[in-house]
Amino acid sequence: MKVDEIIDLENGTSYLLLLDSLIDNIKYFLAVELDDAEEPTKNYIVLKEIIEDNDTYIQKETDPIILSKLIQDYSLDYEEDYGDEEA
Amino acid sequence: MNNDLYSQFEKNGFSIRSLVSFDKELRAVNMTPYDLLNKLTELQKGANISGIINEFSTNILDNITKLSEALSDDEFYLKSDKEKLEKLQNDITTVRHKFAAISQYMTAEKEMLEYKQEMINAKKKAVLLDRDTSLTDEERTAKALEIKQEIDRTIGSYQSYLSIYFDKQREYLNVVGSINVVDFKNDVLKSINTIEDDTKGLAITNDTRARVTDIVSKMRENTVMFANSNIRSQIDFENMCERYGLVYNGKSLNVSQTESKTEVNKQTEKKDNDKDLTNEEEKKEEVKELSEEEQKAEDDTLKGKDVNPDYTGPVKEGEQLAVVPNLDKEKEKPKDPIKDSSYLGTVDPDKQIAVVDSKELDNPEPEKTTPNPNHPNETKEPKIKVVARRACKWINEHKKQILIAVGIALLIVAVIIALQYLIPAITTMLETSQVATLSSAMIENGALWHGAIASEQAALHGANTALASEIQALTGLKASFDTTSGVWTIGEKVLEVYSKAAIENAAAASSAATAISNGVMGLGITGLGLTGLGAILPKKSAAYKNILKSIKDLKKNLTNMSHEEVQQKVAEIIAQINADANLTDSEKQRLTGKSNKLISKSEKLVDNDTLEASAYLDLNDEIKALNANIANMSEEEISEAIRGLITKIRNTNSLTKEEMEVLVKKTRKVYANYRKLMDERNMEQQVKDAQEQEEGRGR
Repeated sequence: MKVDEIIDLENGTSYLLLLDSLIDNIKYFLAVELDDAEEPTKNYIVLKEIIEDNDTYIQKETDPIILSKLIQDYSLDYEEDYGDEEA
Repeated sequence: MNNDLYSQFEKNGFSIRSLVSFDKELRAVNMTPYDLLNKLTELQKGANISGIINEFSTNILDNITKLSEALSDDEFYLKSDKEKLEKLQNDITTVRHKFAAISQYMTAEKEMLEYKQEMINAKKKAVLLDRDTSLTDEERTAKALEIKQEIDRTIGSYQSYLSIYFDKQREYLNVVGSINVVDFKNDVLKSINTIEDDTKGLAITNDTRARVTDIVSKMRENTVMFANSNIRSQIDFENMCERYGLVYNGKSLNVSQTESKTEVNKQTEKKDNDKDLTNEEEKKEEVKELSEEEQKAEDDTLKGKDVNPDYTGPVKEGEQLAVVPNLDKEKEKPKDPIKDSSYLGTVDPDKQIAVVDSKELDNPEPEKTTPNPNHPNETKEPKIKVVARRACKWINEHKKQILIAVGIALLIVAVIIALQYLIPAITTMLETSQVATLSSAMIENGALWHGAIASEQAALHGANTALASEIQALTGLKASFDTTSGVWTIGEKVLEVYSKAAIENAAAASSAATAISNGVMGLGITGLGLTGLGAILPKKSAAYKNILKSIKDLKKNLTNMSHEEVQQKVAEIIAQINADANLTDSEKQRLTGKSNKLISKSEKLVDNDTLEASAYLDLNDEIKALNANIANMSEEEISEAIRGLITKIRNTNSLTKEEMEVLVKKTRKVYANYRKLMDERNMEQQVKDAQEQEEGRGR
């Protein structure tokens, strides 16, 4: 899975992947749920990517320790991509 | 309150400090005192480490065994580097050692109970023999001698095993009594991480690696759950006592295993003695007491008396839990769907209020708006298959920036709430940096407001409302939003002024916070922030900024380059990163990651074409088009269209089964949307008709 992609899940929901980060070789995505018209909803989630037998699965990440790590990564990404002061 | 009820409260260590609160709160939730007592004892069980550590220990040790089995089943495992194998074995042994006292106590307890049961069975035989009138004197005597021998043997075995059991129990109490749940959790997590790292260097198949990853992930989840559940139960227990005007007179919650039992008073005294048993005489006295109680229990069993069926905890001989009737088990309120939401947080358009609801801020009840990730796995999160991936056509940088800002803001709120539960002791220390983070995020969201469309503005304001709520909860200062000027005020200060002061305070506090941040807090919360929070974000070196500029330039040029050119350029940048001595290791790691992402981004540009050509995407577009048109369609038209589309999906051979199912689900959802729209229209019509009738009568 990659950033800027929309993923459709087996349960019928769709998410837009906004940011990614790698912790201990596991990929995590900050994602926003999309509605039927594929517009972003109010629901945000962190997804963990799991690859098994060439199939891709996601699992909601709720561990605050992992989420804390991701905040720093995501915030730095944001700062570097959209901030004024950095190069 | 009748005497029986009073004694139940007293037995369990509670006294009523405020009858007014006790009575008022029970009435408010229509709960009986027995219900309350049940809830409190249940919470108390979770709040006491010993009430949950046995299960946790079993779980971790079971998973360690599974891990060892998974590895030894692998045909290549033993061909791994010898040193790596040894290190893994040592690290596994280290984890087993952490739980050795608990595990040994549990085994000793199980064996002690088996010996005890043998003894009781033998005594039962004696009782039954006395009641048997069918035997001759000779037969009775012969049988009696046989049973007497059995009784003597089983009592002897039981008594001699008790000394082993008491040794193990003392060791267990020492270990459990000294556990600090946060330190223990961090220590276990560290060991799990070490084991995971060890396995990465082994020669094993992908299948085994997946099994190992799954087991390690379960261990990690269980560890976090164990700590969270304990801390949350402590907080809930204390809050509940306070709310119902009760004082808990029992021992402090995380002391010893015996104190987790709900029956106190004389048994508590006896339990406390367990800790001080230092000589054989005391042990013998204990055995004597126990024997008397066993005889009573045995008699009760023979008389057909009930025992407490809910009693599942570790057994102390002769001990029996107070049986509190649960009169109201079925009255459990349905779960709050918002609390149970799987999301980090939400922006509720209905709450885009001009001024933050003071009630909401006074009683933030954070779980309602941002479900607490501190209780992540009360039920294990399901793994859901991704059936389709496609490029997002409508995303542009500005829109993406807004979505990311809102997402990070909600992530910050969710994690801060979680960490407040996790580490209450250092919450105060971190408040300043949290407040700075929150207020800076608000400023960033405010800056994005301009140029955003209405729905995006609503999302940004929603995120700021959640952030303001957290600031108020942390500081007690009133946060309000002026709809006329569009300005947030916190504690009489305009947001920007307040934020500047908060960042200064945070910078001063961060050094102190860092000193105690070796555990969870070292993972980023003190360093988080969005644009404008440069004072707190880690400072990057000039060398880092220089290479970052090269990466950004390449990113801008990506569309004009072939994939091979991008790969070549990235390789050059990575070589430059590795050669630069002025970069720290973490800077190198971060820049390398960013560079590699460009290759991935370049690949995406290539495979987008493939993705967009798929039948899945065409059908998905048809569903979207149908959904967009439902307002203009009749019931027959929509039914016809849906039937046609589903048939088309089913007949598209190039779709996988999962893709088909998802598309059919999406199509059926269009009909649900149509019905919802029709219901709304009918409702509007009914209101309109009623108004017209009202006006007619008025005339």
